[in-house]
This record gives sequence, C-alpha cells and structure tokens, in this order.
Amino acid sequence: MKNINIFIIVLALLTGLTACEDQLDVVNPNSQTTFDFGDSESELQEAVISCYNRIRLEGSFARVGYTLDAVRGDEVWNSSQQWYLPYDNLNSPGTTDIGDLWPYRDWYHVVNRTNFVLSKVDGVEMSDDSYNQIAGQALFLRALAYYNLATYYQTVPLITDYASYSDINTMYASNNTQDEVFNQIEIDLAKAMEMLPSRDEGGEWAKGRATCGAAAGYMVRALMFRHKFSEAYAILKDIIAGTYGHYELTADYGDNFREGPGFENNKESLFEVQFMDYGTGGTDEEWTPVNISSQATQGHAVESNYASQQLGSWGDLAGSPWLYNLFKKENCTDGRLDPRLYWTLVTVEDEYNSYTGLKTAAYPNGDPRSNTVYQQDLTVTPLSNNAQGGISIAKFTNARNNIYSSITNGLHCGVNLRLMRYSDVLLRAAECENEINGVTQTAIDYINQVRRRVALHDLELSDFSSADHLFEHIANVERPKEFGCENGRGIDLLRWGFFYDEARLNQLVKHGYYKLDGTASTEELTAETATGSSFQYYYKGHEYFPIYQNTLNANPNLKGNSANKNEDNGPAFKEKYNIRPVW
Amino acid sequence: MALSNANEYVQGLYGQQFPVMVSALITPPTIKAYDQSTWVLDDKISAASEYQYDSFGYGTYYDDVHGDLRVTNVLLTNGLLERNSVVDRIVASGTAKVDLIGMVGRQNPNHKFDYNLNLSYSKTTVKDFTFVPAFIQSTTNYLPKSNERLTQEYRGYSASLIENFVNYDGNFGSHHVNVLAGQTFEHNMHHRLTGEGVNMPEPYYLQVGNAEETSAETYESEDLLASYIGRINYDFDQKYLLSLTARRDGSSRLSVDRSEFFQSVSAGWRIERESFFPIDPSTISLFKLRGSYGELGNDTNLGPYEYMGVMQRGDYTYSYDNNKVTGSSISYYVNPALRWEKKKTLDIGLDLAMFNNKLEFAFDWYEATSEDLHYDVPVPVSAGVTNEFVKMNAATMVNSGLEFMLTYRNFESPVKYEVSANFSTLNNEVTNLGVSGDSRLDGNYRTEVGREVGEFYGYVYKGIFQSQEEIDNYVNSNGDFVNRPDARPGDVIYEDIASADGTVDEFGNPVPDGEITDADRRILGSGLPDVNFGLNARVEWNGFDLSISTFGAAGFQAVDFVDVTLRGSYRTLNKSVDLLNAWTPENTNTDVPRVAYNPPGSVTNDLFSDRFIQDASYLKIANITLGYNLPDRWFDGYVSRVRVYATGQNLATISKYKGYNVDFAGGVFTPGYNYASYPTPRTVMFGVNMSF
Repeated sequence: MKNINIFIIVLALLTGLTACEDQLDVVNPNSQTTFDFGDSESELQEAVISCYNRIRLEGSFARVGYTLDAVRGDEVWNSSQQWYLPYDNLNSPGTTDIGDLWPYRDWYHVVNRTNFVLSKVDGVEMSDDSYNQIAGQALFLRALAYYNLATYYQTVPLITDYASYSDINTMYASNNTQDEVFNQIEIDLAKAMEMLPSRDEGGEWAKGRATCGAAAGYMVRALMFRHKFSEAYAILKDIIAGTYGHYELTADYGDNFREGPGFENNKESLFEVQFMDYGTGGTDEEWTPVNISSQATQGHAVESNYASQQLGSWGDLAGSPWLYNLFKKENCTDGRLDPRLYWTLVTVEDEYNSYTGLKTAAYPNGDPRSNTVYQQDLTVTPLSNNAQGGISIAKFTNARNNIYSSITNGLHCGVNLRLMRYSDVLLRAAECENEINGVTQTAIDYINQVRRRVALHDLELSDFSSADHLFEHIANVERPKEFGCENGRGIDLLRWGFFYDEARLNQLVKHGYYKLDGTASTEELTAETATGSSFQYYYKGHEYFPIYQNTLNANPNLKGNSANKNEDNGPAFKEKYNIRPVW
Repeated sequence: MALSNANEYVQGLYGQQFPVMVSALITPPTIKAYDQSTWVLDDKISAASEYQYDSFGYGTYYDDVHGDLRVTNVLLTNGLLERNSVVDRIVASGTAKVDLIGMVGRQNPNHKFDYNLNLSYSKTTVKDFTFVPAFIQSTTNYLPKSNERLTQEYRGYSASLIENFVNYDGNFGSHHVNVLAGQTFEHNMHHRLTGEGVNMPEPYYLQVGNAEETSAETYESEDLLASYIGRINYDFDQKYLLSLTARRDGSSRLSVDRSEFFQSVSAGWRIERESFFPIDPSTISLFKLRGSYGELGNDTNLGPYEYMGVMQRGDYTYSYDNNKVTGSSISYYVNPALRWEKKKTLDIGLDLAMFNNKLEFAFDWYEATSEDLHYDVPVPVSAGVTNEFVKMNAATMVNSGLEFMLTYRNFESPVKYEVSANFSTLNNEVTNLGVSGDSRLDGNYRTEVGREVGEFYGYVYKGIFQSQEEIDNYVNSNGDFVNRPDARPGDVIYEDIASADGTVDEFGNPVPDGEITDADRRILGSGLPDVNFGLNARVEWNGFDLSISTFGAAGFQAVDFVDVTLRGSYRTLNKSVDLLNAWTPENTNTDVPRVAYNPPGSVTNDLFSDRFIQDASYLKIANITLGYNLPDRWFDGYVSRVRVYATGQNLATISKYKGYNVDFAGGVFTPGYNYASYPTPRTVMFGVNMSF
C-alpha cells in the first residue's frame, strides 16, 4: 500500500510538471511596451515635448552644442586650454567625444523623435489646428536638428522616413551631401512657416514654442548659408513687415540675456531654448546619456563654461581681446561705453561706477551698469581661468543679472538661450540688401536700427565706398558686437568662406590672438605680444568637426567628412560662392 | 568602504574617477595625500564658500600650481564614499530517490530503475547603502550639496529549481545500457526597492527621510528555463563505448525558437582490451581512442525582457515659458527576434597509460564553433536612440587547438616523485560578425572576419624627428612628402601607409597620401596567447615533500593602461621615469619623444602605436610548498599527523612585461588590453597541522 502511494505521487509530479513550457511567456510588469504608443493626439503632444526635450541637452544647447560654435568662431577662445581645445584650435582628430559625438548624437535623437511624430500624425483624428501645431513643431525641430548637424558635421545622413528605423540594415545610413540636407531643411521650414501660428496668434501657447516666425527666421539662415540672398531677403522683409508676427528690438539690449518673465520669450526673440532656474524644474542633473530623469534640473551649463573660474565656474571659455577692443573702439553718442560690452564680457570698468542710476544715452531711464557681479563689488577684472587668465563672458550667465551671489556649476542656469533675435533679422536684411544692390541707404537704415538701440551714432551712406566695404563692416564690426559670444559666429565664418581665403584666414588668426599669462589683460594683441591664436592650428577641413571615429567604425556605410579626411573645402566652395576680399 | 577596482560613477560627482590602482599611480606625486589645510579652501576657491567642509583634510591640487587636472584624490573618494552591501541568503534543498524495481519487490542485481527528484530553493536579500558627502577639491572637481545623494536599496532574488529524472541501468551479458530521461525547470525572480534622498542636512543622519528631496523606485523581473533531457549510454565489455544525448531547452529570455533541440554523441574504443592487441597490459594498460560531437545552447548573455521595447513614459521634460511639461518617446531600439546561441564542439583524442600507470599521456584535438552568438551589434548614432548596441544572434567564432598532457610518476623508490606537464595551443578565428560582416574597433583593438579577435590596431612607429629639416623632408614609400605641419623636432614619426579616401593601386594595395590619418593604422599584434603551458612537480622523501606549480603563456602582446598613461607626452598627470630620458635638443639619442604641455595638433606622440605594445609572454611560479611530516612516534600518541610547511604563492613571474599583472583577463574584444587589473598579491605562509 505504501509503495502504491509513492507510485501515485511520482506520476502526479511527472505529469504536473510537463506544462512548464507555457510559462516561458513572461509579461514585463515594469513599463508600457512601445507597440501601441502614438495613436492619439495626446500621445503625440507628449511626443512633441520629447522632441523639445532633446534640444536642451548637453550635445544640443545645454552646454557643448551651444558653446562649440562660439569657440569655433573668433570671439571666443578656450582659456582652460583643455576640453574645448580641439574645437578652438580646429584640429580635432575625431576621437574627442564632446564635439565629435555629442551634438551629432543629441541632434539625431531630435531627428528620430520628430520623424516618429511626422510618421504618426497623418493617421490620428484631430482638428486642423492641432494637426498644424503638432506637425509644424516637428518640422521646425527636425529642420533645426539638421541645420545644426549640417553646420557642425557637413555631410550627414538625411533620415526622414520613420520606417527606416525598424530594420538594423536600413539604420546603417550613409552620408548625404550638405546640399541635400539643406534642401530638406528648406522644405521642412517652408511647411512649418505655413502651418505654425505666429507669436501673436499663438498667444500664451506660443511662448517657448516654435512659431512661424521662428521657422521664417531659420529659413533665412538656411537660405543665406547657401548665398540665396534674394529668397532670404524676401522673407526678411516679410518678417520686418510683421507677416510672421510682431517683432521689435527691446529697449535694453541686456533684456535678451536675463532670466525671468518679461525678459524671456520677449518681442525680440524669434526662437529660444527654454531653461528653468535651478530648483524650479527638478534636482537631477541630466547629463546625457546616463541619467535622463523626469526630475531634471532643466538648466544649462553654458554659465559654467562662460563665467569666471575665479568667481567659481569651470572657467573654460573666454572672450577674445579682439572683441573687447572692438567695443572700446566706438562709444555711444554721449561718449559712454557701448552697453553691449557690459552684457557680453565681464570686465571691471571704472566708468561703470559713475554710470549707475544715471540717465545715459543708452539708458535714458537710468543706467543699470555697475561693477557688481554675482552681487560682489569688483575692483579688478576676474580671471576667466585661474591658470591661463582671459576675460570671462557675461552672456547667458547670471553675472550681470545679479540674482545670485555665486555660481553653482552644472545644469543649473535658467537663462533661456535666445537662438535668434530680431536684431539678426535686421543685420541679415542689411547684408542681403548689400549683396543684391550694393551699398544703399536701405542697408544702412537696417544697421542703424540696431545701433540706435545702444545709442551709437548713425552710419552714413557716405561712410562706405563699396559693397566689400559695407560687408566688412557688417561681418567684422556690427555682427560680432551685436552677437558676440553667441552661437552662430562659427556658422557665419563658414558661410562667408573665411576659412578658404588666405587673407581672411590671416584676419582670423589676428582676431584669435590670446595670451596665457594668467591675467585678464584687455590689451589688444599682436603677433609679437600674443602667446598664440586659436586659428594658427587650423587644419584644412576642420572648420567642420570630424564625425566621431567610433561612430564611423560602427557604421560601414558612413564616411568621414572633410575634417576626418583633412580635405580642403575651399575649391568646392569657391566654385559655388564668392568670398568677399578683406577690405 | 573601499572603491571597487572599476571606473566609479557617482551621480553628481564632477571630476574623473579611475579605478583605485590607476588613480594612485597617475596622480602627480606633488599632490599631498593628506593636507590639514584643505578642510577649508574658501580663500583659494570661491565656490568653496558654499561648502561646510571642502577637501576633508585630503590633499588637493590647485589649478595655478598643478594645472587643471580634473582627477579626484583617490584617498578622498575612498575615504568619503560610504558604500556597502549586506547579503543574506537562505538555501533549501531536498532530494528523493525511489528504487522503482525495489518498490514492487523485484530486486535484480542486473537491472536498476530509479526515480530521482531534486528540489532546491534559494532566497537572497541584499541591502545596499551608498552615500557621498558634499566636498570640493577645485572648481572642476566636487560634489555639490544639492547633489549629495543617499541611496538605500533592498534587492531580493529567488531561484527555484526542480529536477525530475528516471534512470535505468541494465546489464545483459557484456552489454551495458544506461538510460536517463528527465526534465528540469528553473524559475528566477528579482525584485528591488530603492529609496533615494538628495541634499542631506548636516550633521548627517543617514536616513532617506532626512533628505530635502526623496524618491522611491521599484522594479521586478522573472525568467524561466524549462528543459527535457534524454541520454543513452551503451558499452560492450567496456571496450566499445557510445553515448547519445538529446535535450530540448526553452528560455523565457528568447522570443524566436524559444525551445530548441540540442544533440550530442560520443564514442570510445579501448583498443588494449581487444584480443588482437599485441602488447602486454603491464606495458600498456590503457589505449583509448575517443571522439565526440555535441551542441549546446546558451542564453546567459541576455537579461530578461531584452526583446521587448518599452516606453519611458513621462521621462522627457521641457518647459514652455518656465512651466514644466513632461513628454514621452520611444528611445530604445530593441531586437524582437532573439534565439539560442549555439556551441558545437568536435573533439578527437587519445588516452594512453603505460608501465603500470607510471606514464600517462593524453592528446586532444578540438574545434569549438560558437555561432549565433548574442553579439552587441552597434546601433548607429544617427538612429537617435539611447542604446549604443543591440543584442542580435550575429557572430560566429571558431576556437581550435591541440592539448597535450604528460605525467610521469614513480612512487616505488625512496624518493617518490611526480612530474606533469601540459601544453595547449589556441587558434581563434572570427568567421562572422555583425549584420554586415564588417570589422569592429574597440578603442585600439580590431576584430575582423577571418582573423583573430581583438588584435592591436594603430600607427606604425618609425622613430623620432631629430630636426626641422628632417620634418620638412620626410617622405613616404612613394617618395612623396608627408605633411606634418604640427610636428617639432623630438616628435614621433609615423609611417604614411594609406590614403584617407581609400585610394588603392591596380593590385588593390593602399597608396599613401602624404597625410597621417586614421587610414594609416595597421594590425600590430595579437593579444591572445598562441600557447599556454604548465609544469608541476612533486617530490617526497623521508617525510619531506616539495611541490612546485608553474604556468605560463607565450606568443602574445599586451597594452597596459597605466603604462600608456604614464608614458604620455603631455599635460601634468604623473609620468614614468622613462620620460626623464625624453628627447631634447641636447638628448637626441633616445626613443622617448619630447614632452610638452599640450600636443601641437591632431597627430600627437600619444597616438596608439607599436611603441606602447609590450611582449607579454610569461612564466609564473604560482606555488611552491615545502613540508615535513613529523613521525607520530615523537609525540607519544597525544597528537598525530603533525606537519610543518611553508608555502609561497605567486612567487615570481618571468616576463618582460612592465605592469603589475601579466595574467590579467582582458575583454572579449580587447584580449590584450590590461585596463587596470588588480595585482595578484604574493603570499608566503608558514604553518603547522596536527591532529589530536
């Protein structure tokens, strides 16, 4: 009897355990699967937010993606002599991830996410307004991504079809030409200009989002990159006429670099990246790609790179002595300093002490300038970098805002980065007018609008003898002073062909002089007095940044660009476009 | 708690963290280990005024004195980082064996039929604790107050295993059969609960609830393995041996062909038992030929749910005019089709024993083919997803070689001894790789189809430029000038081999282009030993015994991260003493290039070239033990088997390799790269054993 019992138990165990195979089907209890996402309007709205999310990460605009173009230019140099050095000296070997990889990586995230939205939006029921807003924002952001990709990395894969992501083989995309990418940018922006509401029509909704004005502004940039001046000029005139919403210059130039309502998303701003003041977004520093978080600080670290190390920043980037002296060369109508110097660079100027509260030409309601920086009264210009020296940069930091007593490094600064301002529209209009019709009063008037805001004397038609002369003035006086240390100067140098002309390159070498003497000297430098120049190391093809070597290794279909191959872009550029000689 | 010997990532901690050993070696010796003046650095670093304590008495560096080093004093991280894990484990197991023939009362010595049941269950709980207080060493090296993070985590793991087998063993005259059939089932569960507090008030009471901000997270996963197994062993008179196995394995980590059959067969022939075998058993007691072929599946390189794409809902934030919004996106590329990896092994061998087993010899030839390997296929960056790699069944590797083992022993003389030697060769070939079959490069290690895994890949070192004139006149093999605009006298000469645009001549050979670019890199050596060997000996005489064991490898090279870093030509991290012999206009007869603060351009002296590759062949004396067994009669029976001994481990390594640890384990695709393996300690022990 006992044996029978054991026998039954054995049989029961044997049969009971044969059904295990079904249990191999497991359910992931942790997250929703991707299978059914994106089939409703609200989910697409979430997806659009994720597109914006990626434009405020390190490789896009929260740090290096913003500053790399500035350091590529002639107004900013790498005072720490590390980290940014291959991009200041324009000789990265393709193995430095911060510039060779991060912007590439982050902008392709934006491309993926916008492609997803655009692949889904036609299949979801919604109102025309919703459709235009969702698709229009995705198109603008995709164009913004490709504009940054093509101006940093020249020949990048153009991916617009979301279906190509489903198969690893089609994901191994090959390069497109820079022209092909710019063609797509123009197509996307043309649609976005039609679809998106203006800042006036959009009202509260439009604050912080892409509008048709943003799309029109970037369309102008894209067109002018390829010297399509007539097409660009037509759009510029429309923007000035208010077709894409009402824009005007703010009375105080400094309002464009300040934190808070009233300053951010103001009437001068065509598009700006939204950042939150530390503590208002969250506390997780979203250094990509390791710690994406729903509690991200949503601040940028441009301040950590731009501000003075002596005052507590990382001290990586400094304004060039050339830029400083450019400001000093021309004073306001009342003989006082150009207020843009104050908002661009942190130098202690004795004059500022006497300006404070006074009614000056630039500030008829009371001049805010002082030598108080981070709420500290300074008597000596602080060092950009403690070891090498240099002049620190005020823009997009809290140095002049004086709302904090110190710098907290990391993704903390909440000042929105204004990517395109109305003054760019005016100066580009002047440039187009000059390219098409030569020196005219119309061109001078556009420039004078920008100058009057900072109380500089009007320019006269008779001051300029030729289109070359006026171009020189726009390129090397007006634009650097108005946009000094902002992202965009490097792209200007590219589109003007300055890297492909010996005299222009010599001019860049002079602009790029710096001194590693551990002081914040403002002295104008010469070949004899400078330690070096950012451009003396420039190697042909490296006006673009190389595609990261590991990225090339991982994708056999992807080829290196001019920087990977040390290839001179000059001949191809000169075939298509004119380079204005040094005047 | 100590830092582990791996790169440390502490959220919010700025400044580079290396493994402890590396940090200790590459930090400049001019930085003090401890320095009481660093408790407060407010007068030296303005940002330090935000911190209560700055460098906690650990030495730091100053940008204007040491340069902006951006490395943390390892003693500081080591001293401040509190990290520990407490592990509790309970294991329960039970077995039952039922004699199925005996059960029905029909025992028979020639037939056995058993049922076996094995059950086991284990439960492991782990409590993890991590905390780093706020500190600041320099403006680029700190952990801010707002980022100090206390993490407490509870992890639970349970593993259940059931095995059911029936086994029949029967003898029919000279025929012997053993049949096994069974089934196994394995179920693993994991759950974790993490509590995190950010920004702790001082003085520290390290509980999550005391933090300014707290958050909690949970995660769970399960995976299952279900197998059916059958095996037949047959032999005739122990002369002919045959074994057949078939198993069907199923895994929840796979999505396609989740259950598959794997078979194996092996056969042996003991020729010395044949009547026609002409040699006497006292001369040859074993002469066995063997052969086997088998297939097995593997899924251990996969985690649970790897074939499912999941959403990070609400993780992607932005703000419109300072109003926070949250969004979602599909940010991982997953491969929905994962199958079993398969390993197929073919082995042919010979076993020989002679002179009453005094001499033993074994020989094997094997070929192991691993196919459909769960290989990390790179996801192109332009795909715009978070993962850089995705697992696919996309690589095949073949390892083949010979193995010899020879032992001679003599226990019949007063001096008893045994000497054995082993020797094996390894030939590795990658026969399929990735989706497109293209090569892969992991840093300076290249793997390409048709070659061995992870060969060194870099520039070819051709000496040092002695003068500007030499730089201006340096030509490649075609007699064309090689452009080195940044080079100065004292810089390394690299060979110009190929064109950046891939130009080849009519025979398909690369054409140099007068520029030093990535295209000029070449395969420079192998990180896998051609041969491994070992020699062991043991001698006993009059109560004394001496044993020696050694092992080694030959025919490979290695690159040591610390060595490469210390020999770098630039900046202010610690340097090797070799650099005292660096090139200067006065010291030109040297193979150490000039040093400079910054490299002049993109072609630097530190590019990876053969000058960083070392010959790593070695012989290691792993153990020597000398003992003496004292005669029991000395102790009047109170104690017995008294043995005194001295033993030394890792006593010596004979090698040209510069570095602590030549028998390091490199990565799968970087076998010759010693990143920072922890050195093996040398141990000498003296001991006495006795029994009471």
